[in-house]
Amino acid sequence: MSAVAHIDDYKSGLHYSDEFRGEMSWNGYEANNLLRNEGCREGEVDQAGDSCTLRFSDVAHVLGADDLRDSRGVAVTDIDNDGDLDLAINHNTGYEPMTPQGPAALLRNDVGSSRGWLSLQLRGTTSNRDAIGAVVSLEAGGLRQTRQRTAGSGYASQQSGRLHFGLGDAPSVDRLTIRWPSGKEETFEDIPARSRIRITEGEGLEVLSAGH
Amino acid sequence: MATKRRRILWALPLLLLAAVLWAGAQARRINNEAEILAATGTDAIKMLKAYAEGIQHKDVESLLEHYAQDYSNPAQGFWEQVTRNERDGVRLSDWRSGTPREFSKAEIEEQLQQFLASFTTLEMAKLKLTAVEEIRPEEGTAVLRSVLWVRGQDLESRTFETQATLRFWVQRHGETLLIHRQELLSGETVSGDRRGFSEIARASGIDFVAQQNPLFSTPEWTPEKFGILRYGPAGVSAADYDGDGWDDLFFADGRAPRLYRNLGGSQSSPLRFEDVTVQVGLPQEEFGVNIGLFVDFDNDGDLDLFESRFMAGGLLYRNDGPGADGYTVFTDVSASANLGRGFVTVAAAADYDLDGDVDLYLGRYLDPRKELPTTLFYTRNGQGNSLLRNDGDLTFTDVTASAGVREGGLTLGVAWGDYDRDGDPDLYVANDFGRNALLRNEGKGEDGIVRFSDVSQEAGALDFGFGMSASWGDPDNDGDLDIYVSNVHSGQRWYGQAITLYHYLFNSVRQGTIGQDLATFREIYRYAGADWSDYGDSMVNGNSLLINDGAGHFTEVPEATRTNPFGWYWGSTFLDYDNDGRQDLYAANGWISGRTYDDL
Repeated sequence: MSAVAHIDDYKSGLHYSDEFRGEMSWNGYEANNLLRNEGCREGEVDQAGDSCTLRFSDVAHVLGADDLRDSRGVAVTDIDNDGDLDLAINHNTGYEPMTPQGPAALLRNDVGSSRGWLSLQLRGTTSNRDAIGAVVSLEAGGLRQTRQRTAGSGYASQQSGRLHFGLGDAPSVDRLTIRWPSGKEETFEDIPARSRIRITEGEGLEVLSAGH
Repeated sequence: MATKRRRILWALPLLLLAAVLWAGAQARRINNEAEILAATGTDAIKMLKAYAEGIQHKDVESLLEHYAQDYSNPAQGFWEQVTRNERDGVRLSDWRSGTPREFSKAEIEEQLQQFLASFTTLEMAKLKLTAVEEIRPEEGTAVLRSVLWVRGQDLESRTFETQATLRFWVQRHGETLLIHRQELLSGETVSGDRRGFSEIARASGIDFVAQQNPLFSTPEWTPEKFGILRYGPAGVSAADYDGDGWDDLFFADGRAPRLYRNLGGSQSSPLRFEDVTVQVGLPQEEFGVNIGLFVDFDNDGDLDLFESRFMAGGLLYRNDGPGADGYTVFTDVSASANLGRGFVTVAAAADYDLDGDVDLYLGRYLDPRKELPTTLFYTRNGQGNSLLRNDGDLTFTDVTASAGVREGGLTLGVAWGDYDRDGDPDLYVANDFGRNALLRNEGKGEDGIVRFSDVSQEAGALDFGFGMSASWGDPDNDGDLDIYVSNVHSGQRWYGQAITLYHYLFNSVRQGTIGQDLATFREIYRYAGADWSDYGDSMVNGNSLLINDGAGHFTEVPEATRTNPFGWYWGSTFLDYDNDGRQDLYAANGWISGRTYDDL
């Protein structure tokens, strides 16, 4: 509040100095959140019919994914290739004389792989080789999911280059459409769940592993 | 001269506003109202803190002291919990009010007894003040909104967490506030066994510990104005740099970034990592690296590495494949790469001009030696971002000016996404202290130059606040890309009312700083008009999920969606952790841990 009452102090940089904060925490020891998508509320589809009021619940603490350190960057990857997404988290040091906040965290997901999934690698030919910017839409189990291949997002972080889709109970992917950065569009059908595949622009689909 | 005159014209509405505020009666009213708000909020926090301690200690007697003797509500129900669903070991329940009946202090006592009996131990109990909804100073009453937030063990020895929103009608009795009516607005409890995720960093060989940038302690780089910047770093990257089918991890850092090679694992042998930083040719120490991006910049089939630096230009390492010892060889080609200057905090790559190679957008912050955010609630004095066009041979050309993507905020999040589905990547920029930017890729003009338009305001994507990360995803599975931005959901949110901003404006006239801040106020006026009721709240109401309507217009989800938890958020990202086909969110929380447990 003093920053409102004493603007001259604020302008001096006082409020941003270690001396001002002293040994106080500023939002220290706070838990990360894993917000589980509960889907739409029943009967609440809007007039356009294509969206609705989403609802999320924070399950980080009760699943053990909450990490109390001063977290910064987050990278999502299926680090152990078991079919679900794990989390790598970087931190800051915290107030230095304190016990270090700095050790990195790798949170292994032990719940996701009970449901089906598809892991997709893209290789551009006309498009850039990494296929960064490619948009993939997938239909399975009555849901249409969309992901794009990125390199750099969140806070100073990079997510895995492999696109990961959860498939729920669906035994296979009905249809998968890729829009490559070159503008080319390709569609593939009937891909079994729990597969790792690679699609090369204009050259088709390779199954790297299937049915784990 | 002409520019100066234009600037004055622009400022006229604000000068007018300031003049009105300056008028004696108005000024006194603002002062008075701001003081009453501050005093009410401060006393409310004191009461809620004591209330939370009563819960922590399961002390009904002390809890009842917060209620007026003549507490009475003709229609109030006991709190009930109804299970909504149960899966993956997580039980999710909603709170609701039971059949309405007359409540006196005796019923309050019964309710509290029931609540305190619903758990064995608590590790945390808080009552956060989220709003002072109404103040009647002459009657000494106020209406408060508060979130009861507890974590602990329930009667089945499961870990649980509850957040319930309550409304309290309070009355001042001398120094204290007493509750004379309350209402449950909503609530949710989750419980589980904390075994869904396991922390395996150290066990798997990741011994990385973040360190501060030592240059901040040198005379040349001492951050006189914005010293707190040293607590900003850093990011982390997942990429399969050696192409062996196992994603590797890079931890950026103030002092010594590390690359860990994933050696793989199986059911019988646990996952292992090896620190290969030096073996692959990266330096043992490199100061001020906030992000590393693994991208095949030369389209030769392997991932090269870009590293930003805060105190110097960026670095580029070419991936030359495996060397004789089997380790990948990264060769430093920075000298010819033309990666521009420092102050870089974040970066994201995409082929913005669709020429088949991947370009780089760099986000910058301010110079912490000379600058600080102009005001707490708006600033545009960033060092300016850059778009670097890849020329195909590991050299880049700065095309920021011709593309029109400099931005001026304190950038902490950049993300490319084709939100308008026209085939080229657009750009979202999340800025600390102020507003974000949605820069639409307009494609190549007749002159062959790709330009961007700032469509933030018309697209509804300004998202005022302390933006600290941005990601695109499709959580509603409707085929278009939505945005998640991390922000601050402050414990001082109740204070973020229009009156506080008017008070600040009034004080800046009185204290003579208005001259320095005029441009700031002008911009706020441009986006929010003179009614700042929503502006103050939107600054501190937490993370934002902006839903794309398919026609390129974004609407922030309502608070009931619950994507704005309390805290101070940095990294955030979409992920479908439970493989149910719906994208969930992870949000990284925490600012500076000291010796106490205070929050802001």
